[in-house]
Amino acid sequence: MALSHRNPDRTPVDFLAVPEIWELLAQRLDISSAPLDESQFVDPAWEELLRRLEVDCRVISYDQFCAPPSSAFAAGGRTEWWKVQSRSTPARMWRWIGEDGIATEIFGRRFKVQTNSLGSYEENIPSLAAAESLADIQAHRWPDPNWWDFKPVKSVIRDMNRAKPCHIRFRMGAVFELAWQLRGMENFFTELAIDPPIPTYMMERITDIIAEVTRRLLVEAGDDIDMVYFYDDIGGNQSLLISKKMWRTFVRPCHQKLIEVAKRHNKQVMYHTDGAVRPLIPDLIEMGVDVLNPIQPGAAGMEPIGLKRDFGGQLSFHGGVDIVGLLPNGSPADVREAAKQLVRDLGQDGGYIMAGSHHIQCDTPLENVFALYELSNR
Amino acid sequence: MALSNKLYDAIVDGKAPLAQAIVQEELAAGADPMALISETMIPAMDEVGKLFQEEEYFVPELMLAGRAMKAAMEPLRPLLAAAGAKPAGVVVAGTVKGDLHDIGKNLVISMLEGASFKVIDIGADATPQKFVEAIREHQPEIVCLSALLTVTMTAMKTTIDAIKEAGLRRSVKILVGGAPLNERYAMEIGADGYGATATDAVALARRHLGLAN
Repeated sequence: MALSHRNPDRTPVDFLAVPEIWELLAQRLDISSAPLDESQFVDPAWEELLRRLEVDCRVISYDQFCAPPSSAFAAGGRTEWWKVQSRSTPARMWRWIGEDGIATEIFGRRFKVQTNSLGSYEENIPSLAAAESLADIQAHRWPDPNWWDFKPVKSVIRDMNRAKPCHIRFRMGAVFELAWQLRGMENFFTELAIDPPIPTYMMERITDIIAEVTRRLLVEAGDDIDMVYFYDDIGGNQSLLISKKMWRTFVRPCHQKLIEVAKRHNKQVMYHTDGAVRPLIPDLIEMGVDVLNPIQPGAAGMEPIGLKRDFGGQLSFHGGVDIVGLLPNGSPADVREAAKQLVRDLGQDGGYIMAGSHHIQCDTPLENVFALYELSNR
Repeated sequence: MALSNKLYDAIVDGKAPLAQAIVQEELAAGADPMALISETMIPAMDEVGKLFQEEEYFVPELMLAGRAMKAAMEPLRPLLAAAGAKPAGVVVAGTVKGDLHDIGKNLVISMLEGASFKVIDIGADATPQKFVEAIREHQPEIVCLSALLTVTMTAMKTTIDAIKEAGLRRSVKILVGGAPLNERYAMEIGADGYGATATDAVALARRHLGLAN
């Protein structure tokens, strides 16, 4: 209801966090977890946590229902679904762990796990940085849509809706971001500017795969899904990463294709991009984006009041709660006040789902998480 | 068009092979390397920084200009070394312990080198000890710390404390940067300056060395 701009009786909320936070919360709330195996798609302990916090949104993801053949990746490795540092929802996430400990994901991105004083994260290793020609790039083991099996989706969603109906969205993946992470940012960005065949090929190939995979998902379980979303960071804190002209030439057409798949099945579309992206918002609306996430606090031009005033009639918003400054450093009272302010600024006439501006990080006190999710804020 | 204008444009336009070729032409015609750098090349990089601040240039253009500057500098380096020319300053730069992100750091290094600073890149996930050793070895005027995570930001304070304990704090100016940082945090942890963008780094470095901006 919130997303059709009719005033709901309370603002819906979403919850995304790094694994360390999920584990700490489960411990605090005495939610025990049994070891998970590959027959399961959703961590029941984390799902229980969402119920306790009365979270309205659920995510099913492209990398939850894909098991590439082991022949596609280096020999001597193994599949890992659960102990993956990039997991931010109860969904499992496919990784191939090599003998050297380096993880690979479905598209062939590789990761080194980096640990710091509070937790760890997956740092990107550009697998295609050394490619010297377009032919090298074309020869990469791009995913085959036949690797995906969406038959379990309906029953996974049924379980999610068991206690009460939730808002279900399908996480499609990324195009621009995935491409430069594979190729290496410096290679990719300079090629985009002066020698575009490789970046162009990569983004088109990725788009085609994601579009086909999403189409199959919607055919299988479209009736049970409310929204699809794709993520693709295009802004820094102060300005866009690439010019609007470059974005319109190279990125917009790819995103347009993905949105069209969703629209053919009458699904709403959410687009995630961090950073200062106000200059692109009119284009995004024109393309058919329904919900913009995460409204990064502090990014130039992304003040909630201004966005609601200028675009609130055509766009809904998801996110907004500062996970960088407020959540780790503020008091619970600060957090409550900020949440209520966001609901006032962004949630008039609906059009807002409250959530963190990114995954809640491991330096956030649990008291602040509880304060954020109090029902009285909504 | 004068060769020096062509060189300026080649750098601003990010044309690395052209920039290098013009420098070689200039040298063959007897140009003074120091003059080329200070009168044409550094102003070109300053223009690039300005275009970035004005949101006409974005990350690709910055990277290309950095490459063009580097290519232009290559024929000049041996000549500068032979003439005993000094860089604008010496900088040690690294991403702090626990953090592997290096794109921001690399952009800053590229802009600093473009402004004629000599930069020693100690890489990512650099321990406080590694910073201390690099300071002892290279005796920089400036130390740049980078972090992208709120969690690793705290390693900046640990690094600054280690520099203090080693008795080296007063010999360097410490500049910090990275997405989660701000001016207030930088002051709290005892840094000398904070930069929001890679181009800020150059302005700060010059200011702290008392150089014209």
